Amino acid sequence: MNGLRLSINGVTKRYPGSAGPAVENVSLDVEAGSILGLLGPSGAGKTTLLRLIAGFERIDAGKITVGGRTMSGPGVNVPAESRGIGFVFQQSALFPHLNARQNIAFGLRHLSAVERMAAIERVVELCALKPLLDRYPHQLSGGEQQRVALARALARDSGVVLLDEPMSNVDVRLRAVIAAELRSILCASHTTAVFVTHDHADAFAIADRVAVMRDGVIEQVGSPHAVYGSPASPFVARFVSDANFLPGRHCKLGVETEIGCLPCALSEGEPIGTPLVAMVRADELAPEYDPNGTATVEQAIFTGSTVTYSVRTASGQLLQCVVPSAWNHRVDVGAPVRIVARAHSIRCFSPAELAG
Amino acid sequence: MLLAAIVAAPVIAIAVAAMEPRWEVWRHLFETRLASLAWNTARLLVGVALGAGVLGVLLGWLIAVHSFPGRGFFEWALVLPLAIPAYVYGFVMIAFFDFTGPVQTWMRATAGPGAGLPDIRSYWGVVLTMSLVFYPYVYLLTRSAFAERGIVLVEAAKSLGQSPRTAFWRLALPLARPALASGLALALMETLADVGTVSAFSYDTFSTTVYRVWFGMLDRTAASQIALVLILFAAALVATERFARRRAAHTVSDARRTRRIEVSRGKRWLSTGVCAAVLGVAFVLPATMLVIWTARSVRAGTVASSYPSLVGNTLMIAVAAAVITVGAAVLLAYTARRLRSRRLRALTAVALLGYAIPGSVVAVGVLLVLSFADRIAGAALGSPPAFLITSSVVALLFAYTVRFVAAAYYPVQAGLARISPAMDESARALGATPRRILREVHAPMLRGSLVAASILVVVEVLKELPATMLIRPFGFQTLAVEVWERTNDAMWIEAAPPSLAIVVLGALLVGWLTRTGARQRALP
Repeated sequence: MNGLRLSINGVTKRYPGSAGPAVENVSLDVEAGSILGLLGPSGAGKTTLLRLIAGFERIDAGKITVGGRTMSGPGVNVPAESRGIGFVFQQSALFPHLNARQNIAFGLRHLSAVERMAAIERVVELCALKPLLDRYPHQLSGGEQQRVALARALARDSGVVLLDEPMSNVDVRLRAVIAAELRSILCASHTTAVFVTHDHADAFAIADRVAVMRDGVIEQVGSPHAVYGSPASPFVARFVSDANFLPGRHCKLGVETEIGCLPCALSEGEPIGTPLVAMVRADELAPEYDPNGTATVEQAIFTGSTVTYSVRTASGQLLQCVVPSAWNHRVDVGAPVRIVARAHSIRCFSPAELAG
Repeated sequence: MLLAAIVAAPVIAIAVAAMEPRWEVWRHLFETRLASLAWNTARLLVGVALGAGVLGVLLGWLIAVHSFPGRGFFEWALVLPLAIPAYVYGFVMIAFFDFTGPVQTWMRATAGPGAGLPDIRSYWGVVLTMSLVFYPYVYLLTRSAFAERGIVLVEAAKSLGQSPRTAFWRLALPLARPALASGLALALMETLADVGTVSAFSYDTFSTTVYRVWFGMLDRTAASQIALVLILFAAALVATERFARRRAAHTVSDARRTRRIEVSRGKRWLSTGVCAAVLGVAFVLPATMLVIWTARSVRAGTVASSYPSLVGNTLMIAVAAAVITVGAAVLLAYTARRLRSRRLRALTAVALLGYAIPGSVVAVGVLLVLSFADRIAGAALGSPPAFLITSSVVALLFAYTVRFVAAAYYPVQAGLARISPAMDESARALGATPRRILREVHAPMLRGSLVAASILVVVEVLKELPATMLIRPFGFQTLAVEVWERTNDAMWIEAAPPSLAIVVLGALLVGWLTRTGARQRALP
């Protein structure tokens, strides 16, 4: 099976009675066979965008093409059942009166018996479902249901498969394993995939590229590394990491803040002294005991692999610092400290950007 | 839309007909009976609300959070009185406790001729009878409300140093108030609708008056007007029920938890005793009496020779009504699911009102609509108005549909609600056409609900009396009508066989529904 290229061009969707558009002028290109993660808080329009692609909702403006064929556009609206796009629902939506095998076969009516067997065989192997085939949905765990639903969508060899919150029913402890499994199934199937999630860890683990959405608009598209490493906006930074924002001024080496000078890649020609805000992630900061330190540890939370410190600086700002436990580095609550930044390059925003 | 209009038509017809003032009858009623009618109806409602409420809540609380011998059995057995039509229970009570009945005869024999009971044919007799027949509605709804939260609340209260009694009065009961209101509303709808029981006790209410004015005075307008008063009563009850239901918080309950309060030995047996006593009086006593009388009747050879055809008749009409009613309910539920039109929803609400409206009133509405249709048909054929449809099986089936479409609607709707939109959409994403979705996804998933809905309608039609009496074609006899005619002549023994047939059929169906858990879903 081969994935198809999915293009979204200036798509807008407005629900009657709501204030702003649910999706506004969104353009995205998903390469054939690649995996895109739509990331954002609830209400950002991720699921709406997914449903527009699937054809469950009509677009108000723009164009959606799959493999060069226009699915939605001016005067065109191919009905969902004729689009041939696979969809995996949040609650798996397996038919409760059919067993796993029958669920998978549901979309294969158009094939001959032999082809159908072959198609089922293929996805069963891909998704490792052999022992589960004769079970009914209520006899399957959340993760297993999700896998059957995925197999059901993939069996149609549809070129594009859409997944709405595929990780929402998965046990927390199995999250990483299931995410890896999902990625390997999607890669092996060579299908183009778009999935929705509000968890950045899931998005980074599964996707080739991540699109961060907010209020119906895409804020940034890029590889997981790029989105994490150089967030396009304070919103993205907050959403994908535990970001601290430190006000400061442009200096020769970067930004001068109350915890010292932080190295920062700056645009050319910015005059020295311009007010800036430096974004430093919690795992780039650590408190160090110093009798002359001006900051104080207010709280230390031990989670096992890390310790999260809340540190109050002299100016009264509260900073989050995450230190690996393996460093064997303990600071007591109430101790005077100075804050050490372990960052090579800090991302800077203008104060205006932070306010927005 | 058309269907909803047809089902709603009788209710609307009554309202229209009632607009034509017929003051003489009203004045007559007002001068002679109206005040006493209103007072009778009102205090009956209050009495039954108290009686059924106390019984239902007590039993619901015992069963939901306590463990005692026989709990599992009583849990479903306490629903069985639903299978006994109120008028059957009524005549059993009268026969049993009347001056000539076994109880008083025995009292006179042992304690001398002066001993006796207050007259059973009184307000208290009616209230007692109806409370014992209608408490299961309250019991069913409060029980599930208590089961959802009860034990957790009791434990939380204990941890705060309070007694289980405090937990009940201060926490469980206030939280179960919506369920209690729903249950009471259902019980009172039945009370309001009843004609058979109250007339057996010679206790006049609005319902019996509709019947008498229609047949006795042959005054359709006046009957419609009284019927309209009843509809307003019923609408108030429905509104109460809706309001209560809206406030009911739908918490996700941990259904697998079966922990219950352990109480002392004495209290455990007391609980068993209470349940056994209620079940005994409300079900075992009447059932036993019916069996004994039936046996006597068989021995005396007074069982009507038409008995088999009577059972056949009743079952046939019940099944036919079930098929039509469930069909109508399915159509209504689907339309409501697809369209969100406000006008249609209002019409559907009126159509569903039938469940709360007394059978005699429904009958009046149906007759008004059909005689109108007859007149049109007569005019079209150029002949004088003939009673083509008015007095036919078709009219009867129409009346049953109007009356019971709500009973079928709610289980169907509940079944449809389980088919999430995601289910439809994923079938579509898999390339299925709408017709295939209907056939291969909806039909199999709805099967259980449809069976439950059909059974409910069959049970209701089996018991239905007032509408059947008013509309049935000449010579058409059902079990319920047979019971009614025999009891009117105080022929208890002759009335027993058809009553027993209703109770057995009803108990089998109700018992089966409760045990499979479908009844709870199916309750409107």
